[in-house]
Amino acid sequence: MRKPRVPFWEWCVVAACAVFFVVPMLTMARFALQRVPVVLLGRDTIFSRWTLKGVVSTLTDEKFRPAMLLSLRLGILTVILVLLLMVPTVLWVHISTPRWRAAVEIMSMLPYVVPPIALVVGVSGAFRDSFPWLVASNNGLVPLYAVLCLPFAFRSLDAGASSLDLRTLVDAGRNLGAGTGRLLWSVLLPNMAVPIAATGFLSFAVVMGEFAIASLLLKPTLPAYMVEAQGQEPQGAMAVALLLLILTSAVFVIIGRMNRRRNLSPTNGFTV
Amino acid sequence: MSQLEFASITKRYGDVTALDNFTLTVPGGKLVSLLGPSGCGKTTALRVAAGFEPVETGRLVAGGHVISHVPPQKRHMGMVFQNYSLFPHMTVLENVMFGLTVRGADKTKRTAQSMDMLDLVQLSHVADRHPHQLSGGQQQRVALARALVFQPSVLLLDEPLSALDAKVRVEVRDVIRDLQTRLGTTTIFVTHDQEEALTISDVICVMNEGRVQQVGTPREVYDTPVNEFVGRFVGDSVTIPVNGENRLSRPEDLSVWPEGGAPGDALAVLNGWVEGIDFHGATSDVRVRLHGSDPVVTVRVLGSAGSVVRFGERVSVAVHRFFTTL
Amino acid sequence: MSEFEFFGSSYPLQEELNPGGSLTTPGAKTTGRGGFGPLLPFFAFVGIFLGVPTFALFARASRSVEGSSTPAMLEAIQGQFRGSFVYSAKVSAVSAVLGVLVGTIFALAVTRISRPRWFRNVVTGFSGVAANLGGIPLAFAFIAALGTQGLVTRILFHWGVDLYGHGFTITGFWGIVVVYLYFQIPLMFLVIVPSIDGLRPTWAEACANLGGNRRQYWRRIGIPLLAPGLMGGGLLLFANAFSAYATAYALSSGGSKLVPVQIRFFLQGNTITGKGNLGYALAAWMIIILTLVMGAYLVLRRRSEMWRS
Repeated sequence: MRKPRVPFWEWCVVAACAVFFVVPMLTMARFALQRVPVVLLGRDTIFSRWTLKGVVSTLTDEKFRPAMLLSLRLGILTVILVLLLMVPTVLWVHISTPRWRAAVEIMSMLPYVVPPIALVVGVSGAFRDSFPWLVASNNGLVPLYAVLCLPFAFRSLDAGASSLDLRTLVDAGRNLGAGTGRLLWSVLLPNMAVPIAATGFLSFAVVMGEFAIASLLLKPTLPAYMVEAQGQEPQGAMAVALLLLILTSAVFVIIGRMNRRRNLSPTNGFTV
Repeated sequence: MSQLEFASITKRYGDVTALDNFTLTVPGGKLVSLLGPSGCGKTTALRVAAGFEPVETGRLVAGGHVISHVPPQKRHMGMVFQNYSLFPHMTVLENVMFGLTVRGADKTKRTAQSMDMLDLVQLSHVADRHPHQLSGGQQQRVALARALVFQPSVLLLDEPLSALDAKVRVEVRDVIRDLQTRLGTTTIFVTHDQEEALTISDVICVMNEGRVQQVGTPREVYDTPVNEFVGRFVGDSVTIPVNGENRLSRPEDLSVWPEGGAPGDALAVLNGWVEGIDFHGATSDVRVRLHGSDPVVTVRVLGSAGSVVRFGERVSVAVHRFFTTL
Repeated sequence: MSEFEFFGSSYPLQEELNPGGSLTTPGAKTTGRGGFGPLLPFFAFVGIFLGVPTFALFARASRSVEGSSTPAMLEAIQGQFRGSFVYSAKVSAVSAVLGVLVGTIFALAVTRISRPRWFRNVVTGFSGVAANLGGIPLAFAFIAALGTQGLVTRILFHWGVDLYGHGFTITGFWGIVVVYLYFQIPLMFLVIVPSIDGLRPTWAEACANLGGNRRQYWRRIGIPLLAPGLMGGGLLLFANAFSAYATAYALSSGGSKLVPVQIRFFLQGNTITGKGNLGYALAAWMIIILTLVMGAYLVLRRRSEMWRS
């Protein structure tokens, strides 16, 4: 059955799908960079008025920078929180208490049934009166974003841990005299480096694109800014959106490659 | 009872030549082993027979018909793979029936035939189980039943015992040989284990680097290897330095004596001292380091060697037989 | 001291250290010798930031709507809201089914392409992006492409296809489905690729060897083995579409019939005030529906993993 056959139909399918996926990106780029309304586009106008003016005007808009910085900061804080929370948990589950793994897995899947919109509504209802500072502060978004990241953080770290024999590593390390700190630092974490990095990147990407929670809590993050800017400076908003897309793509390709090098499925962690 | 013939088949993958002018006739009803180290082309030859590798140069002939370009599903051959390959979502019975099901056989008939086949491999009691509930040996027996139930003209076995535990290997090996003789199916058995090949085959084809090295009965291949490769690969071999040359012999064709005590009718006598004795139960291997040279000669002795020689003792080794070649 | 005493007695045997069997064999029963303690932060975190809000949600949803005596939960599924749930369900179902079909065909095609070698990696990376995308850039992209002033709209018009003249809008049913497909298809790709990879080539060879042609392979082996993945994927896609907020919001600027957007309507507090509990109820029903769907998904996934071993 392994005939050396050129996969013709396969490439046709891929090409057709590629059109569907690439065209919106292209139109986005065109919109962002060309100051010609669509109605006026024709063979004679196709090359005219390509400019970075719209992009520049957004990037220099006084509200852009704080929004961008806020999102970046929230992203970093979320990554730290997610890793601090999940790495020890997954390690502990794999090394010491495998019985709890199922419970931890189910708990980390729960955010899938509580979509961001429901979560923010619940948070608002639960905490607005009793802990107003949580809802009011920008940093209050961080634990909520961490909740959103739990499902694939767990999947990614869990798969990574499963592919190692952590129990044996720990036993070997202890046998050779390692204390807990050294065990963690020199033995466990280096072996978990790829899933940890993947989780970090994924979480960061999610935060940079998250809209529902930020918008309902009236926080000026980047996605919220983009929606607002769409009204005033649509081209700039498009450019920023496009930039975000490209950066996130690069991140995911890197994650895929890292997963592959560790012999994990390249889709590890991206989905349930 | 049809004969299968490989005629000058060459297969290249880029720079690598997997099969080099491979020619072999598998007589009808016989079990022929393709024996050789990894990469020797034995699996490629089997896959060519099955139809999974196309024939570019050369010809494949079965029962008088050229089948070089016949697709695998039309070749009417049964294959047992190294790693089980039972369909995981089907029961054992459904697996065995598969060859009959796709040929449109009537349901009652194919159930009956499959159950008979399962009886032959003594697994009718697990007919309703799923593959993952069976042990490795059981899965291979089911795979065998599945391959034979529709009475193929040729049975192909791709290292079927390699993934099994030692004891189970012997059981399944016996089932294969037993079934093959009973049904008289022309069979090709691929293996890298020369002991397996010696036990089970009517004919052994020793291969290396895509080429046939020797074709013969197990006795022929073992006693009279035609070249050094065959001599070394099949059975254990010992290098004996004689008159400035290196010649090959087998450990059981040597005997060890206290120094000076070798019998006069030996073909050659060498002196050394006992470096070690390895007890293997029925036999022991006495390792003798010859004076003034590197080779360590291994002499196979029945039973425990302790009664004949001791560790460190100076001994004489008598050679009773050489291979005719190097 | 004999050799055995020297090596044997000083070090307790592995079995003594870990009563109940080896901890290194996957699948073997283990008696977890560790404590629950270190897991506490995790469970506490989930409890506080997920459990409490959910609880508060249901608590408020079960209260009555201001100005009437019926509990909000009940009112949330009557009248116009029933229509919203149905609409959301339809959009989710249609985008799920189409996503499963196209996603699987796409996955089958990609997994068969072996050259160039980096191709599959790139597709996977892109799928990861597309599937997890924040909805805002996506909505913008489609507005630029298929909005009333979209480039594709205009090109199609030039070729004689008047999309908007036929009633299509990017904010309408099919418009939203098309946009959702942008992340549904990649998500399905990611979900089904492991299943496709799990179709061992040996099975295909065994099938051919035993006399089966390609149609028989797919009918008796390929599709049955893929079925749990296909159905599971469908459920996951449904859940994914059902909970999507950002895309819907950005496309419709807040005036959509979809349930997630409607929730915002009630809780932003701008128009009909005092009906906040309805918003909570809508969210609560969303959670219930999603729990059912995801529960079914997990059951399916567990069953399909049985064959993977």
